[in-house]
Order: sequence, then structure tokens, then C-alpha cells
Amino acid sequence: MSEKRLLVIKLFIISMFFIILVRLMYVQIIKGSYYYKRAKAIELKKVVLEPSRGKIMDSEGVTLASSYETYSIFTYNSWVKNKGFMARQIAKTGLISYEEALRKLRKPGFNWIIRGVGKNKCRHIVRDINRYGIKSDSLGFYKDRIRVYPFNREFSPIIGDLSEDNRGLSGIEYKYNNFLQGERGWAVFQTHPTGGIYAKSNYPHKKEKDGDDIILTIDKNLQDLVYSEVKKAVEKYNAKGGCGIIMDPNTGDVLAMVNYPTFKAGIGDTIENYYKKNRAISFNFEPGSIFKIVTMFGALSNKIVKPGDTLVDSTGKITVDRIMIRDAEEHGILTVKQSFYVSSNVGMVRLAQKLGKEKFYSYIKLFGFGSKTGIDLPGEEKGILRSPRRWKRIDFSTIAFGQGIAVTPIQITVAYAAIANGGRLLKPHIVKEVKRGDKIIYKRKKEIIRTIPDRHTIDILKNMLVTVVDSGTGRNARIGGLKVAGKTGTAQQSEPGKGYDGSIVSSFVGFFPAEHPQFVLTIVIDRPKKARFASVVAAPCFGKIGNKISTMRPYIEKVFARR
Amino acid sequence: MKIDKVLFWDIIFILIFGLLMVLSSLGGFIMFSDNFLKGSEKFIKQLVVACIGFLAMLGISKLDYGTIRNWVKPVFIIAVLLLGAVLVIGGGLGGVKRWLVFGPISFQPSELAKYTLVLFLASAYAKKSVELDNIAVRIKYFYLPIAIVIGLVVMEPNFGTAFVISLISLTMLFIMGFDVKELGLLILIALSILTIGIIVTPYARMRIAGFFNLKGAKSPGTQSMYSLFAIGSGRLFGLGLGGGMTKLFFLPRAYTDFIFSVIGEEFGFIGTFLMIGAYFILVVRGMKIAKMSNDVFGFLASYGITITIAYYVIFNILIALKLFPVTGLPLPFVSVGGSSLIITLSAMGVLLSISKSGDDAKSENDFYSLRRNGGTYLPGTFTG
Repeated sequence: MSEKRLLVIKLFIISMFFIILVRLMYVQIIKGSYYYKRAKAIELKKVVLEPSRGKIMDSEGVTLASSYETYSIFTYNSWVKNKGFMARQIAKTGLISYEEALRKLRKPGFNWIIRGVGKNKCRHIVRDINRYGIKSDSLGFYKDRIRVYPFNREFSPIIGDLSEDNRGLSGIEYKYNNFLQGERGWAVFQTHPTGGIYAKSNYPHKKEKDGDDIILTIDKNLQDLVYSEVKKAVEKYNAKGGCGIIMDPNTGDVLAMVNYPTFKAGIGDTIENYYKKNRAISFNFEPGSIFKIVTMFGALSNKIVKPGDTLVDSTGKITVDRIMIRDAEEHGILTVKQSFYVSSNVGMVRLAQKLGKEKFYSYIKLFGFGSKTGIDLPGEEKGILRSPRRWKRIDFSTIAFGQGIAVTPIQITVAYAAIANGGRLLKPHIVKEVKRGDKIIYKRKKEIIRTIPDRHTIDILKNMLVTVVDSGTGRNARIGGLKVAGKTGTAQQSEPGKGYDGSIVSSFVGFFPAEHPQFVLTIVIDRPKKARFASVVAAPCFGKIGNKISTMRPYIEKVFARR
Repeated sequence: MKIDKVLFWDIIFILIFGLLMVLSSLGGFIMFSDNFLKGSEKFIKQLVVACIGFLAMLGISKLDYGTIRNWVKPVFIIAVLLLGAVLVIGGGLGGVKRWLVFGPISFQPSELAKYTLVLFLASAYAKKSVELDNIAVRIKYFYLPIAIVIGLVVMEPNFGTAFVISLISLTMLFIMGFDVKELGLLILIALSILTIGIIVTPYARMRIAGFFNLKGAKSPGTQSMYSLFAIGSGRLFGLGLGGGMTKLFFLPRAYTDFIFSVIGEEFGFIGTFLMIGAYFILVVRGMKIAKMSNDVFGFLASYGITITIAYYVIFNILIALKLFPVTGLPLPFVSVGGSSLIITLSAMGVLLSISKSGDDAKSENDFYSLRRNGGTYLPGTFTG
């Protein structure tokens, strides 16, 4: 091997290393700053891929909230070489004027051409653009999603509202946000040093996962019915507001939950705060006579009295702590049973006094008052129930007829449902199923919070409630052809700082058919002005809804057969 | 005699630095992947492969290179058979067949072929140097094996590797004293075949067009342009380990062929200078081992292995510096790739084994003043 030839190779290798070194010095030291700046101009963009928010549907699959895609078209200043030509072509699509297009194309960087059009319109635009010879790689498309509530206001308090960035703020939208929102994906785009952005399939990315669908226990037809009747009652008696709840006493499913007046979802309604709340679960009100079932149940179940015992003497008054309590009208001598039909406050005070405050308190708790029902909606209140240690004699005397205690409409509904179903205090549900695609990933189960013992007393109470509607204060709640059980409530309300100023809440709670209850219906009318008594305000509203439901029965039966 | 310590530690340095760079250039994948293990899978694999390769290097360096010489012919035949097999059952991206896949392990026979070809040529020369005047011997023991290996690699197609193997073979034949005119003729033939090959292969045509910024090139040298951006923006001191951004997206799979760009971006000129220095030391030591070797096989084998490394380093970096079209050559010891790393380290084992037997007492001049015959060593004179 000649030294000469080895030297040739040696020199070749050394010169190659030398060339590399010189080139490196040139690139890294002499031109380093230039390349550094150029490299800095290359931007990476991590773009979030928004998933489609899940639908909310009623129990029959009627859409109550859905998201649909909108498209926007954008361009990059540097994408388009011949801006005049491009602007003329865009103007030909009739979308925007030539001047506007030119202005947008000349503005440096990123520009929207049009925002938020539907899929079909976008398709037309693309077709026109292609027809007019605009190269489609000069334009970019951006997909967005809009939340649509295809109803007016009747579902707003249940469904709730969304924030600007598509997060639930209230209602189901808030409570089930994690299911509804899906999972965001992302993709990485790069800006090319010569301008423009693009993504390649081999760039890291994650596909978005669409949100789950929520199916409510609410039935749209019942919801509409209750809404329109509550609305009529509120308007007729010039009330501040009203709410209504229908619950299936056998399962705990809430079939309708209505607030009137209320806000409109999806428009950023600026209505007063009182109307933004779902008052059916958050309105703390003094229940009045509808609360008397607790007092009556306690006394009968404890066997302190029998239904036929004489309870109220002919004076019809009672004095507690030097405060005289009397009934709305004089009834004369009343038995235990009679005092319930005529809704005697004096009778209830006597029963509560016989029961003693500790026992009375335990019966209040037994029916679920003083704690949240646990319904799957946000913002539930638990009413106001003070500890019996802080009760004075007058306090529990008034609680006996539903004053000095506050409950929510949903609590009272659950309590009456327990009487309707023979003693099972159920957790109310408003979400029936959560579906991921076609797969059901959550199904509500019947949940019994506790069973109220003493079936016998419950049956007596049920009969008493039937009598109230048949011949007592609840006559206006009668439903043709059906046996109805229910109770009126007309209660004074205290305003913070003002005390009892004469404002009242008029309510009616009941269930039907009384033999095999399928519906518990609660009507609460807040501060009616043109009339006061529940027998006039709330009971007729109950009756109208009940009558309509009974005419809907073939439909209702069909619905129940499916459950 | 002991193995060459300088070479040994030099290899260790490059290896560890390389692993660090692999980890850094995988950064984006680790960052953006859902779980850490999945993202760093390639690094862990490379670490395991490096350990296996290191053990292979140690094992082979312990052997007597006479033993290695006995294995050259069978291993070379196996390598050629595997190269053939790749064309039939191989896998790869986009119709390109470069890999033999056995479950989780994939193997690139061209890596094995290039080193065994070098060893085969060295061993053939040691046996047949007297008969080199005979054209039949030249064809049978030299031109034909070279042509078969290059031909099979071209058919994969893998023009980059074929090009470097051609260059290595040419260098070997050149220092063996083959007639320059004959070699020139062979180069002409090879070039014309290569030209035809590039013209009929779309991806190769595109890359060449891209390099020369020809019209119709889809992405005008995009990869090498980004590579230059990366290296340049490292400036003198670099952006720091893990600080480079280019690798994340602009240089797809920077952890393979463009890892030098990551070194340049993150360690600046200091880093690239150190790296080139380390490779230069390797080449110098390799050539020294060749000079110190006891016989013509030892000389040619160590020389061949050294220039193989040198050429890969040179062309990989030239590509990264946009001085040569993108051909997909790994940076030895550093680029992710199991076959390449294990086989390169094994080749280092052979080099270290030869270094062990070298005669230190023999001065350079003594070595070259041995009897020559028309620029060619006479065989047999080296025995003992």
C-alpha cells in the first residue's frame, strides 16, 4: 500500500473535517444571529380541538339542548400573492364587498373573511370560491360550536346556562358539565418561515372526544302543561312568582319542574337574580298548612290521640307564651280528624304540645325536612329548621301548623310522595340516563333515603288528605273521575328586616290517583296579591293540571309502560 | 498489549453524549405524549441497545483478531443473504424495504453488510494479493462481492447507504493499489447506474431536486433548511440541553438522521466542535491502530472500519449543514437505531481487538519501509 495513496485518503478525510468546521463556524458564529432570528420567527401553535357538547333530552328523546357546528373562513396575509384578484373573486361570492375583502387581505397576519355560518352555507361558499378560481389553499376553515336551546323559557332553570367558554354555569349544564363537555383534543400547527401555517399528520395531536348525552326524567308535555298553568295562576293573581313540580312517587323521577317567571337560557339574560334561580329546589318558604301532615302523622303514630278524639274545644283559641293562636274562622268543637279537614291551627298546636318538642323534631326530620333531598341539580337549599334546643314553646307551637319553619318545594314534594307510596322517602332524580354514543354509561336507580314506619298511620293520613279534597279546603283541586289526595297551604312569609308584612305563599300539594298514586304535584305561588287563600289560588291550578293529565291518560300510560 | 485506551474512552464519551441528545431530541414526543413511558420508549430502547452494543464491543475486543478473521467469510455470506431476504420479506415505509422484522425486533441488514464487506475485502486481499494481476481474481474476490452488496442495497432502495458503501469500497480498493484507470471506469459505470436509479425513484429525485432548489421540487430542501436553522440558532454556546425547538416539529424524527442539528442547536459551536473533535480523535486513533497492526488483514480491517465511521460522520454532518442532498445516513453511535448502534459498537470491538495486538515497538517508518512491490505490499512478509 503506497504511502501516497494513504496520504490521499488522509488528506481527503482531513479536508472534509476542515470543510465541516469552517461551515460550522460560518453557520453558528458568523450567521448565527441571523439563523437565530429566523428560527424564532417560526412559531408553533397548539390549537385546541373543541369537542361537541353533549345533548340534553327529555325522557322521550326530545332535544332540549344541543350544539351545532358553525364554520368560519380565514386567510393569512402572506398566503395570497395577487390580493386584488383574490378580493374580486371573494366579492363574486356575494359574501363581502370587494373593498372589504381587499382590506382584510391587506391587513397583516391572520384575518377572518366570514364567521359563524352553518355547514351548508360554508359548503356553498367553498363551491363558489372554487368556481371563481380562488385556490382553496389560500383560505383556512375554522370549526366552532354553538349551543342551541330549542325551547323558550320553560326549561331554562333545569337546563341552566353556559359561560362564554362553554362551561356550564347552572342547572344540568353545570351539574353534568364533566359528562357534557367531552374531552378537548389538540393539534400542533407550525408557521413556515416563508409564511403560512400548516399541520402535518405526523405532528403530535390528540383527537377530541364528544360529550355525553343527558336524558332527563322530565317529560316535555307535562313540563309545558305545568308551565302554562303556573304562568296563568301567577298572572291571574299578580303573584311574584310560582313553581310547580310533578314527581313519580314510585320512582322519585321528577316529571316536571317549573318556575315562572324565569330567565331565557343561551342569551345572557340579565333578569333579576330571584328569577334566575331554580326556585323549585331553592325557594325557602314557610309552608303553612301543607306541613300539618308531619304534626298529624307524629301524633297518630305515637298513639297520643285517635282520629275520633275531641281535640279543640268550642273557644277555638289557644294561648302560648301569652300569644293567642286562633284559627282563620271559628269551627266549634273539633275532633282530630276534623281539625285536619278544616285546617285548624289550634288543633295542630295541641297535637304538637302533646307530642313534646324532641319527638316532634324527630318527625320533622323523618320526613326529610331540614336536609337537602339530594336531587341531581345544583343550588338546592335545605330549608330552615332550627335545632329544638333553641325552640321556645311558641316556636314549636307555630311549627305545628307550618309557620316558623321553611321548606323547599322539592322537600314538600318528596314528603308527600312518601305518603303516596306508603312510606318510602325517595331521593328525587332529574337525570334518567347518560349516554356515550349509543352506550348507556349511567342509569338512575330508585334510591330510598329512608322508610317511614307505620304504614297504618300513613293510610289514615292518606284518607284524611282525600277528604280534604273531597269536602275540605281542597275542593278546587278535584279532578274529574279520579280520587285526589292533597292539602292546601296559606302561609305568612317574613321578609328579612321587615318581619311578617302580610305577604303570603299559597300552595297546594297532592297526589293522584289516590288509590295507586302516579303523580305527586306541588304548586307554590309566591306572594299572590289579588287573592290570598290557597283554596282559591293554588288548588284550582292543581285541579286544572290534574284534569289535563287525566285527559292525557292514554299517553301517560304509554309513557309509564316504558319506564 | 492492552486495548487502545484513548479510543475506548472516546467511544464512551460519544456514546453517552449521544444518548443525552437522543433524550433531548425525543423531548417533544415525551412532552406531548399522554404518558411518559410511551414517549420515552425510544430512549429506553436506545439505552438498552447501547448497553448490549457496549457488551458486544467488550466481548469482541477480548477476542484474538485471528479468530475474528475466521468468522469473516461466513458472516459476510449471512449478511448478503439477509440483504437478499430484505427484498423479499422486508418492511419499511412507503414501499421502501430496509428492515427485517422479527416481532418487536427489527434489523437493518445493510448495517451488517457494510462492515462485513470491509472485513471480507481485507481478508480477501490478505489471501489473494499475489494474484491481483489476474482480472478473474479481481472480479471474483473484489468487484463481484462489492457489486452484489451495493446492488442489493440499491434495490431496497437505499441510495444513501449504497453511496457510502461505494465510497468505502473504492477507498479500500484504492489503498490496496488497484489501477486508478480501472477504478475510474468502475466509478463511471456506478455513476450512470446511480443516475438512472435516481431518475426512476420519485423520492430520490425529489430530494436531489430539493437540494439544488430545482423547479418542481415539492419542498425545496425543507429538512436541510430547518436543520441549518437549528444549527445556526445554536450560535456559540447553544440554547442548552432540551432548549432546542426545531427538533420538535420541523425536523421530523430528528433523533435519527438529523440529531447533529439538535446538538448544534442545544450546544452551539462549542458542542459541535467537541463532537467533531471526538470523531476526529476516533479516526486518528483508528488509523494509528491500522499502522500498528501486525499483518495486512489487521491493517486493512482497522483502516476500513475507521474510514467507514469517518465517511458516515462526514456525510451525515454535510447533510445537516446543507452541503449534500438528504440521503438518510445515521450519525454513528448517536442516531437512534438498534442495528446501527450494535453493529458499529461491534466494529469498534474489532478495532480494539486489533489495537491489542499491535506492535508498539514498530515505528511508523519501519512499517512503511517494509518491502513493497509497485506500491503493493507483498503478502506473506507480515507473518510473525
